[in-house]
Amino acid sequence: MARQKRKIIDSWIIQYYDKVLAISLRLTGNREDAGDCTQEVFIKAWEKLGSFRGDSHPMAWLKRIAINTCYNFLNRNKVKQWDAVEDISTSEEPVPGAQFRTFDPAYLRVLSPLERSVLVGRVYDELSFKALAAALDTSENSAKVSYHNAIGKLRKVMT
Amino acid sequence: MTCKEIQAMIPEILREPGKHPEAEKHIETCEACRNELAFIRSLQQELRGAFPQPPLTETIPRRIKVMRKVRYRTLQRYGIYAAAAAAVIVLTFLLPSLFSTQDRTPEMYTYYETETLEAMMAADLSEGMRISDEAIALYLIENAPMNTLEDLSF
Repeated sequence: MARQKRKIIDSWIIQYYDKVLAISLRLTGNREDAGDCTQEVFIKAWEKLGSFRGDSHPMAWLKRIAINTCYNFLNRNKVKQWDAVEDISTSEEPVPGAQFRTFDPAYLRVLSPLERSVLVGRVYDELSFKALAAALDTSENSAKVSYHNAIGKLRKVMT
Repeated sequence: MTCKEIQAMIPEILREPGKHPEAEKHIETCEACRNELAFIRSLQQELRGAFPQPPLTETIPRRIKVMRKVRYRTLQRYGIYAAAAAAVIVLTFLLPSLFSTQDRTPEMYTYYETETLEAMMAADLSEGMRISDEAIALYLIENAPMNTLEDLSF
């Protein structure tokens, strides 16, 4: 039983590590934290494997764990991660003639951990509001509000 | 559908064009929704390129590290059960047999006693101890009542 569980997680580490790392990178913004979060995702998956019913794709399940893990990480490290936000709105002049400034990942720092998690989950990782609400332990409505707030804030810093 | 509802669906519309005809038709005629779609499309493209995937040389050692962690956790968790199972086996089988060995009375050793003592008589003491179990022989030498030895004309 224990060996079988470990083998499943091993195969997932081989197949999905890069995808989970990509989600973690988008959410944490740096490789070191993303690596730590990715490790935590697979350990959580090993711990919760019994609750994975197998009716969805393993990656869909891992995505939710990844969003939840990174969201918790961002909350725990709020001060360290989000303290240099003020400079962003004046950091770069818009390119003449362009509709938006060139995107800088640092712009994501204007978002709260919840807004960032919902935006990344929606726009890049193709998760529904329902799945995001479950992953982030919030309501579907709150996830929708956070998504619209995130888009509004990004528009503001990018135009 | 309101503009806000349609704008919330844009990631799905971009992922599966043609699957949301009502919303797509609205976007064609609504400037605000068109702008939103263009903005989200550019966000998708730009952020995808903003964090390039680390090379394999970096991710393979990290994968191995995670696998090792999982093995360690498995050992940590199931090792406790294995230790508990081993303790149950020891308590159930080994300890009673140890105690019973200690608590055996000389009468329980009749077979060994005879064998040992006969061997002792036939050969010498050291030979007798090799034939029988050493511990039993020692027990007999130390604890056998004198009458047993006398009965055997030792």
